Amino acid sequence: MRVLALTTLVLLTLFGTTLFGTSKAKAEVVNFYAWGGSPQVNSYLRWAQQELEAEGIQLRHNKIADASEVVKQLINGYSNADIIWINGENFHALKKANALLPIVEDIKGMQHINPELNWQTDFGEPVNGLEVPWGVGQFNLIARPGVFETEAVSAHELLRAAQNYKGRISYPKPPEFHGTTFLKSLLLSLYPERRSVFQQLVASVNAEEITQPLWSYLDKLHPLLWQQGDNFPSSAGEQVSYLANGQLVMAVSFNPNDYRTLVNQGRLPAGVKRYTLSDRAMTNTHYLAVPKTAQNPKLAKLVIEFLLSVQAQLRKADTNRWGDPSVLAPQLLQTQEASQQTELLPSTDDFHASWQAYLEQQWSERYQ
Amino acid sequence: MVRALSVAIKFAFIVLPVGGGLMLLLLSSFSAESGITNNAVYTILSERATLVSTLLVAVVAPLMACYLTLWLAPGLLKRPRLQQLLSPVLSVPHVAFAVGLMLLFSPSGWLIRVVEGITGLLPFPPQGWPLPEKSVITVIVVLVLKELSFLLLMIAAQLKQVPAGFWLTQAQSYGYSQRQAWWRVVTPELLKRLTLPMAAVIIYSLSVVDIPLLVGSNTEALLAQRVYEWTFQFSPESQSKAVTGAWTLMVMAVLLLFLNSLHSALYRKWALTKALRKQWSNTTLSDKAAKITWITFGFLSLAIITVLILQSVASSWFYPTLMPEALSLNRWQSEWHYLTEPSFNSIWLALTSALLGVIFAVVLLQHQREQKQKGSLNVWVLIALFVPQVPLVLGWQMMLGEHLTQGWNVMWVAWSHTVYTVPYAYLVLHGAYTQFDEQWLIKAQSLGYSARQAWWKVMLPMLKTPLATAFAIAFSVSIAQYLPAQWLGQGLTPTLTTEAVSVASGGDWRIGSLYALLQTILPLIVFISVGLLNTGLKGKKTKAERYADYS
Repeated sequence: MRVLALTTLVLLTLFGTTLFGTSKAKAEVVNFYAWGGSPQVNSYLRWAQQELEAEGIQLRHNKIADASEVVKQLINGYSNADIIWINGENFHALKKANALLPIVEDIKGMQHINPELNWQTDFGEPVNGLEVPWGVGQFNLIARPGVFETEAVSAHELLRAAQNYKGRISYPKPPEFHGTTFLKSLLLSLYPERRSVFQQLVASVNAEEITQPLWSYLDKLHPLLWQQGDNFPSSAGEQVSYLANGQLVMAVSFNPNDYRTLVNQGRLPAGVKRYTLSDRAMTNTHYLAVPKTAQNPKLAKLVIEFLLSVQAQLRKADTNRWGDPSVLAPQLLQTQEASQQTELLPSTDDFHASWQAYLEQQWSERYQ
Repeated sequence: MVRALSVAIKFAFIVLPVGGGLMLLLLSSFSAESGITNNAVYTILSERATLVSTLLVAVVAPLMACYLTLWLAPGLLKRPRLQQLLSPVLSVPHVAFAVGLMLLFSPSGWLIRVVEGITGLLPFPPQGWPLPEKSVITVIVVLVLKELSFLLLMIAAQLKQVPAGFWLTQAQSYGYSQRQAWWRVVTPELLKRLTLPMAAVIIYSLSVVDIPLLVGSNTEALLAQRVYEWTFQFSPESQSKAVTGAWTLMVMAVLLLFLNSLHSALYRKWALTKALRKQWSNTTLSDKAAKITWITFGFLSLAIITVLILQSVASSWFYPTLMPEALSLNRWQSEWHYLTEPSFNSIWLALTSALLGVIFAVVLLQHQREQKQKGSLNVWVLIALFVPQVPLVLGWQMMLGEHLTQGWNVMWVAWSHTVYTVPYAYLVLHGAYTQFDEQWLIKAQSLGYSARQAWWKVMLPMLKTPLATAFAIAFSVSIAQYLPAQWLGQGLTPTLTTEAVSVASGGDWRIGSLYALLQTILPLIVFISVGLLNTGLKGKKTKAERYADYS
């Protein structure tokens, strides 16, 4: 009986403090829903939190395992998100559901965005002012030294390496977006002269004929892959772990600086090298957006302006930290810290969005 | 009083949550754009490999766990302290347990590294190793080991109620060997009392998503895993496949639960009709094997905790080194400042919902006793466990709407956790509570206690073990909740689990292990205290137990 009374008392106290604590903090909170799977991103956002606190804004990083979680809530349920970190399919879904605020015109400093950055389309879908570029993704391979002979890895070079390293090469399983990008890069490598085809609607071209060489190539490649292509890594992060523990000799990444940052953090052994699949790196942008249901859109925009500031973008690009390339014009970043920046890889635009679903569906019909 | 309370609880913690969730599922099933289509039904039914491996996992894993448990359980009867060995395995979250197993036994795991260290034959992790990272077999191994510990704990709680020792002695005096007596006399009774825990184990094996996502095959994925993936792809076809898949899972669940309800009767029939074989020395052999299994089990749980601790302090750790390159507390130190809020939320949510869960389960069971539906198996109390969580929690979001904004979400998170603790507390208590011998209450009342006093002073103290076990299980169930805390909490109630799941999504198991260990600590404390309570207080018997001894 006494135990019960004591427990109740403790619970009431705990409960009271929780309610009290939340009501006190309510005033200037901005809820930022962002993927929490990277310790580097998390500590970057912790820094941003401290900086913003000085300006009287309490930024809450609500960590999620996948951005689609918050997208699902915004479409089918309810969410208190003020800012979300998205691109690609998640952006399409939200745009289609008419769930985003047009914010680009209100954001100060948009004129500083690197004019060479093709951020107006997100995986082929016009952005229409619904999201603001935050960082740049460039698809690249990270491999143990000696696996590939050339810095730009062609489809045939990959096949050669797979023969040399039987069972030691793989790629994330589509529709995981690294996996789908892997397929697109292979298509480009098999079709370098017809790059423009992939900017068109998949229904407007003879996709079956164009993709036929890809499928016959994969038929040759898969038996040479890890677990004979019966299974694939589920994510790029998982594949990095396989590279670290020697089960694979190759991983994939959308961060062109990962081959350095991951070594700095002890996640990968020293000596790994970066390669592009096909002659150029598939390049896209990741964005910040404000849902229509945001309770604090004004403050959300202030936070986005801070995240686009020179200071914040420089820190983000630091390869000792996150190492995510800046979206600002290069001349703005000519400071002492700029030496830590790396040049971007030669880039190529992503396919028209309609290719995404087509490739994923065809792949799963054949290999799943 | 009990009746009114029981009705209120059923409404607030079963009808309302499940009804709200099912409503959404029903609505989307008939929506024009993303509802059930012939195409989706056809796709799912034509995926034989998926359906077969789903059924395989949901049948094989629970049955293997069940009979392994029964085989190991006599050890518990002889040495109740063995129960303490289960605590670490019970406390480690499922996913962390799977990761621990992989770190030990996968082709790049510790075992192989030891072989490489001694022989130098394996400069690269070997291929074709029998326990590959991704296969149905790995999923079954993880589930069996994890469910084994849960079922052993359930049996430990039942053994306080069944006079198993007495039955064994009696059976042996009739010429049965000890093992025969165990399988033919004690096991039928235990199986009957395990029906509900087995139902939970079956539902779990059928609907688990995180383990197959981590260690299951991803080209021949399990159905629950598929449904989960479809749910988060936003094309209408994927959405309609997700809805259809969810219903398919529920049909499978009903079917398997029906088979489960026949299990103990079938076993009894078999045990009574099968002729006795001549006994020879295999009894001691079997005992020895059981003993070795117990020791292995102990080592395994210790090894998993050790490898997680090493990962969490590793600067870097590559194949084929046996130990991390350097050990440092940096990771713990940098996370330390940010742990207060999630730990605090985890603790109060788990305490509140476990306490409420146990109290509510007692009310439901008491009502059932009073209605004389003793044996009846109220599977509907478990219904929240077999509706997939994504549509359920989305349904709650839609139902609660604005209530989630006004600071009330903290309350609703506690409510949602209680929705999951009630069924678990109920199934742990069900066997002991409904089978409780009425004679004790009659005797107590004949000695002058009122009915209420008899319940309070005789029945509850005699049910101390199952009550404590129910609390511990409910506590760990609350700790493990991800979606309810994440979605109803709207980021205001980050718990150790929401942090752990999001951090683990990056695949960096050094920081993942740190959070997994934090998730383990709280339930571990509870399980160890419950174990001490159940096995330690031998000297100090309660009044009721003394009374029981003399009668």
